[in-house]
Amino acid sequence: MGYKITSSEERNEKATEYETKSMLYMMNYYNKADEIKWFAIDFFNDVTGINKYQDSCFDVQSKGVKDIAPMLLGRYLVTLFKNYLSNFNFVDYILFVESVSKTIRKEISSNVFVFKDLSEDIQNAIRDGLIDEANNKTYIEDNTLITTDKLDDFLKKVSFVIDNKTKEQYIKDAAELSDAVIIDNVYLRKIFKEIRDKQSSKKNNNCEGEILDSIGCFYRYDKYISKDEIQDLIVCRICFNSKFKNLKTVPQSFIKVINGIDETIIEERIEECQDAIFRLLSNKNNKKAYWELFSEINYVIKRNPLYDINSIYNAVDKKKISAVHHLDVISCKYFISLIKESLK
Amino acid sequence: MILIKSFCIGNDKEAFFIDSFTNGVNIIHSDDNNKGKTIVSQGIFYTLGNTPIFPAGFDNYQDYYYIVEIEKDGGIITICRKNNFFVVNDGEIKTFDSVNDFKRFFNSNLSRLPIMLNNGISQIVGLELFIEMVFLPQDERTTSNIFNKGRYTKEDYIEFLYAYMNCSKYIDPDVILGYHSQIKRLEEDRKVLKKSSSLLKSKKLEASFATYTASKLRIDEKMKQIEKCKDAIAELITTKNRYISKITKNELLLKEINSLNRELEVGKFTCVDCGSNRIAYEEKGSSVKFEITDNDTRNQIKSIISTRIQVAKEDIMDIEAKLFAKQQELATLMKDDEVTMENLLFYKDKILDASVVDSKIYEIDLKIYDLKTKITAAETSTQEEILSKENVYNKFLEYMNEFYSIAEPDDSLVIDDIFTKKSINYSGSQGALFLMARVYAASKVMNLDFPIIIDDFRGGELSTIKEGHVINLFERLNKQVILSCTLKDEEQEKYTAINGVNDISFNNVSKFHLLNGDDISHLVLLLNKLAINLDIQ
Repeated sequence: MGYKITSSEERNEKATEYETKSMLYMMNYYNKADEIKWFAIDFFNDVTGINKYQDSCFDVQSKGVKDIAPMLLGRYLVTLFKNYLSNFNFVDYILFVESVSKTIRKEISSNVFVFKDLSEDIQNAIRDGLIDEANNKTYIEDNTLITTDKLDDFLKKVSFVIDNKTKEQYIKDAAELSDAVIIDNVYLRKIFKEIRDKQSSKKNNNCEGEILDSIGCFYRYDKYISKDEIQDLIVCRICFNSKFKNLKTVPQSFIKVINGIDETIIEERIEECQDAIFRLLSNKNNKKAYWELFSEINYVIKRNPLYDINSIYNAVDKKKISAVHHLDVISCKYFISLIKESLK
Repeated sequence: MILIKSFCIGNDKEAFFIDSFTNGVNIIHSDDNNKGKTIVSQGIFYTLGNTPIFPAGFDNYQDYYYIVEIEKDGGIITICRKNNFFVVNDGEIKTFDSVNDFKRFFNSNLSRLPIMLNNGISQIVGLELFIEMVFLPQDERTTSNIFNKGRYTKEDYIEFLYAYMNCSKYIDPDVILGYHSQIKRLEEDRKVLKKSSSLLKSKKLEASFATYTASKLRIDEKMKQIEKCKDAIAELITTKNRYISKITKNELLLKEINSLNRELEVGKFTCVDCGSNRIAYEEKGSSVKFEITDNDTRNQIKSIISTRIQVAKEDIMDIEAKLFAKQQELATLMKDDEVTMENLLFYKDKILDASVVDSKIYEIDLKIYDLKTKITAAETSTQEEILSKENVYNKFLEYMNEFYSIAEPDDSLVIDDIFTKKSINYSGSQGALFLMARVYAASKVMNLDFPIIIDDFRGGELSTIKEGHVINLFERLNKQVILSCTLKDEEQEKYTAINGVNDISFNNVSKFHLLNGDDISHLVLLLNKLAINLDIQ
């Protein structure tokens, strides 16, 4: 009989999964997603979206738990409540769960719902759970703050989100990809895992007990992932994964660039571009420069959807191109065309 | 039979006319010197185109007309010369404005002049040389040379002899044998050529001819094919090399990527607190970023490069197969048995010669014909007793000796040369006889019909006995011989008694004054015949 592993932190995986999901939810579907620039990880809450000016927070608590009953649901709101009670400006509070119990499910019509969507019984149950949890735990230091008014006010602002998508979907929906892009789910899940791993690695930065003087402190403790980073990552991964499946096809947009070059050597030149990209992608030392360039290109493309390759190239900061070392003009343009072709 | 009938010299003031000549021996004699005998003899030959040697005092000879009437085969030919202008009446009046011009008339009407090589040009020999044969003047006598030394030499005299005797026509019997064997060889060659020609024209090589033409086309085709093949091979090799370099490049790329990937895997950091090695290195002032590629992408890249290499390797295998096939093709092309290079060359020689063979046969035919003609000519010539040069020369000497020995039986001299050596000059009677022997021999050998004139035949103090012999000898020639001499008083009637001798006396001629006023009428008459008006001139 083999040795069965018990008491490992199996729940960790699920928990982190849902943390990532909730983050991706905020990135993809949240109605104020555009305002978010950073995600504070394991800082204010599991995931907290921070805006550009670092003066608004969009708080998320994720719970990878199934069939959550109303009372438990209320308990899970405690961290959000704590943030509500703080001085920092929290705009929204989201509870992201795997699923709710049948009783709740009966009453809701979509996966996102608010407190007042629920029946009074469930509301009461939720409220009870929250009060109980708030009083018990030491999250909230000053119990006097737990007033009915505050509670009610808080509960009005809460959104409940039930996860209804696959991991793959979260990834796919993160970037506006062209229909031509073919990605298999296995790979998408891999990307998801990569994000999750990155996210959970942020949790290792220990800052328990630190007193924050501003929202922006998350930056100092490096407990964040920028939204763009995630998006860039997703685009990059998907783009190259899909493109590398069929590298023989010359990107449409690239054809204009190579127009005029002798036919006999075109293939050679394209292969040289590909070689440059291979080197670029393989160079582990180059991370910062690479992402900066990629981010720039992505940004230019998004901003100017009608630009052709040459215009995009012209708009990109040349310093960033030289910083990656491996790209010359043509291979950079090839690089750009690969990316552009992947996007809508 | 050619006879000098009359001679006239003169102008509007004075003239001289003589027509006493007969056939046989004529002797002009005078009792004194300077009676004009030399003028007559020199004048006659001057008329006939000679360069004259007139005696001193007769320097203005060019001012006179000179007319000779010659009887030939029953007809009269009147020849007039003034200076270099000739008028002839031989039934028709003909004019000649130079000696050479007249020469041709002489050749065709009076006596044959042989063709000799003079300065590399074959031409009718000059009259002077002919006249050397029949004239012995009083002056410029020497046994070692001719007397008309201006233009001709003694060698020319002998060449004249040979040429007149057609010695060049004489062919050595050995030479004729040579011709026969040459003909045999040529006929053999002809046979061979004929065979090859007929062979060429035969069906077999007609096919080959067609084969050649076809072969040539095929060779050209073949060359084109070979070229194409070689080009294809070259191209394949180039492509193969491209693939090889492609493989090399990608293998290097793969190595490079692997090394790039490994950069950060040297050493590890571990957390001091919990022992976890999940520590990310971060640059100062920046946050940790995602990896540029994940495992999947890295594997993708590696696989792409490996595929490139694989494809290139397969391409090379394809190329090598094609290369092999092409090389086989090339070998086959080169190896075509039906049309080898040797065949082509062989045919080329044969076929190209085909057009030449016929002309070669023709050439041979010409040569054979030529030789056969020569042989025939030689055969017919022997009937005329064509002698070799040696024969002619010996014959000549024979006659000279005949004359001399009869004329001078007491002298045991044997003449062994037509001309004596330069240093030797017979003088006196010996010389006279020698020279007369020469003239005699010339007429005998060449069978000359033309009259002989010997001026002062007694020169050298010929004795009477010798004289008699000489006259007898000249009688034997059976043609006109005109001799002249100066007789002493006691000898005046010498010749009248001799039978067969025409005695012509110049006793009545005034000394130094041959020409007179009486004979002008003769001159006019003669000139009339020639349509020459004396007064106008």
